[in-house]
Amino acid sequence: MLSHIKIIYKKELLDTVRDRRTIISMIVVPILLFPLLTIGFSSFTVSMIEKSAEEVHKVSVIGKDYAPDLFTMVDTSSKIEIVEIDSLEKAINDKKIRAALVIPEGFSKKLLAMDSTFVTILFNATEAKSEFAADKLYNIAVEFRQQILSQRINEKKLNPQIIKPFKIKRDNVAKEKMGSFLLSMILPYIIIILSMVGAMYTAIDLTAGEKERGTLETILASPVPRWQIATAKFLTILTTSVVSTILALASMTITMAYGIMLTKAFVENFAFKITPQMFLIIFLMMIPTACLFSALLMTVSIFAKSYKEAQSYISPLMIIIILPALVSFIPGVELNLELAFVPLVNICLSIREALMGNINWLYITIIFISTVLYAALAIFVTHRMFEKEGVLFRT
Amino acid sequence: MVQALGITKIFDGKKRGKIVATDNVTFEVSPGEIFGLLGLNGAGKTTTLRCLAAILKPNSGTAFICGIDIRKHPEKAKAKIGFLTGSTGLYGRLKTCEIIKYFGQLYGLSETEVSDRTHHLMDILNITEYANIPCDKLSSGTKQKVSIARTMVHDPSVLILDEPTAGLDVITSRALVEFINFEKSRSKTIIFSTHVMHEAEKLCDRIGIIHKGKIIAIGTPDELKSRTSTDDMDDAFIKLVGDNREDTDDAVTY
Ligand SMILES: Nc1ncnc2c1ncn2[C@@H]1O[C@H](COP(=O)(O)OP(=O)(O)O)[C@@H](O)[C@H]1O
Ligand SMILES: [Mg+2]
Repeated sequence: MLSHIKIIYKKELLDTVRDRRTIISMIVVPILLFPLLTIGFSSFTVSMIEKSAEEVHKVSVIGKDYAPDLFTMVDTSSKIEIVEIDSLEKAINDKKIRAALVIPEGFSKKLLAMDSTFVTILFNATEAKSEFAADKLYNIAVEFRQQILSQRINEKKLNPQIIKPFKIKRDNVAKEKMGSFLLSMILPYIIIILSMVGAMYTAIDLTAGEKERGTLETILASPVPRWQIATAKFLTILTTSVVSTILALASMTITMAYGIMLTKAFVENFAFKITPQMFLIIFLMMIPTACLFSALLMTVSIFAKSYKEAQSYISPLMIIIILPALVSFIPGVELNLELAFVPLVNICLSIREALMGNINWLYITIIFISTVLYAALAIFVTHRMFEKEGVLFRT
Repeated sequence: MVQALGITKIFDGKKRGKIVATDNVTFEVSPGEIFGLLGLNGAGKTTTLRCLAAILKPNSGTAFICGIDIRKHPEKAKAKIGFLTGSTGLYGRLKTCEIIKYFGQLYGLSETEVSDRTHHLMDILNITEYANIPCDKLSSGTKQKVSIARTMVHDPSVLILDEPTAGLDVITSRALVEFINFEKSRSKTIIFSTHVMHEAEKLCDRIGIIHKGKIIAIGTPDELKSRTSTDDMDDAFIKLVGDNREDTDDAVTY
């Protein structure tokens, strides 16, 4: 009995590894995706940070004669270039300048007279660079105001503490770097997608593909009970899914470990180590998930009559699966007892938590067991489908 | 030996309602005999043969293959059958020898039996030179020969062939007919379906004419011709099918 399953499994595996599409989606993509993604992602953000720090912002100052001291401060501050311009708002919207400082007439005189006055900073809030330039101008203006204040306090011989009763300090206490936080949101999503994509072609090839090529009937005519054929096919699909998952996990771990060698900026912003414990937990979570995916893919594609039809069923299935996986992108959502029972959402969140180093064995146990149950249900449905003549010989 | 006893198969055609594809089909074929199932497209030939091969479960009736009830022991019955159709395919990425070996294993042959049979069949079918070529790369004639080898790997007592010559060129078709006659001489029980009259006439010892799911006549080609007082198989067929010619593409629908 088991020998039949073994014979079919071995043959399906041989057939699968000879299929170039499967090899690409099962082996090449999971191995290459993480290095490419991480290098791309980190070099992109790093270059963004470096660029905006280095960039010289063009600004205009209107009414410089009304506040020569303030103008000098703007003029001498680094990374700012002053440009003469006529139509301010147009220039900002056309990105000729990023921001402008408008000093009203009689500004200095009013300051001396201790009359109330103001300066205006013009910028475009929809442009990050414009906001950056406006921030700079704002900081310079604040610094200038601080100087005026200090002068006035000196003149009145007052205690400087009068205007600064206390200081406010900001201290970032996050354990992780911002980059690793971002990665921990994206990685579960990618692992889940890869474990499904890895098995997709095999699932179609072993079911709808057999119908299309007319080989299904030859195996149905053989003296092997249908459930054994279904089991062997399921195991083959599961194998491709698990192989993709393991490769994806390994590639991710290695990318993280060696990312340190890539760039200094990568280390500062992204590098986090995937410990053997994290690896194990993610793997543990992914095994029943792979079972669930394999059974779902097989159920959907055994129903189809052709490769094409199967693909058209799998696309919506993909979206249904991606939606809960997206939950790991929502920073506010945290694992709780109810969510621990929601299929795929629970897997995503538990992987995210594991990557951030929060390991809660109670949740892990609940999630593992509930996913095993969902997978068992899906495997049962697949086998039922495989017994149905209306499905196998759909017209 | 094959006995079909009142095989009735009803499909649940979504739009067309219930389709009675075969209706109480009964016949018997002895070892060393070629029985032809002759009928128009949609008459119920494929359904009958699939039921005999235990690929489909009849709604009522059963069949005995070498005395084994297909309802009670479908796997045992299947082990006695070689099943081939004109539309069955091959695993394109597997080599010819791998396919024959695979089916040999599925039919429970030992390792030496598998390799003996593989060599023997490749030899008599003249496909030894293609042993290590993936099936995708073979011509359609060679593919059908590989399919024959696949069907015969366990040396089945019963051969069920559903329009096996469909889509074949004359030479391959002739080779197949020779092969069927050769197996007949080895006392195999052979059931063969076709919608080509002269093919049935030439090859079959007895013919069953199936129309709208029902067997409407059984006899040797000569009997059928004399019963309808014609000397041509086409005419005999048309006379037997008679007035029921409208909607021939469909079985009776309710
Ligand atoms: N799987 C199926 N589902 C629904 N109807 C079917 C199915 N297979 C065959 N039929 C219908 O049963 C009838 C007999 O078909 P078939 O046995 O294939 O005839 P033949 O082989 O003689 O051309 C046809 O009307 C066909 O449409
Ligand atoms: Mg047919």
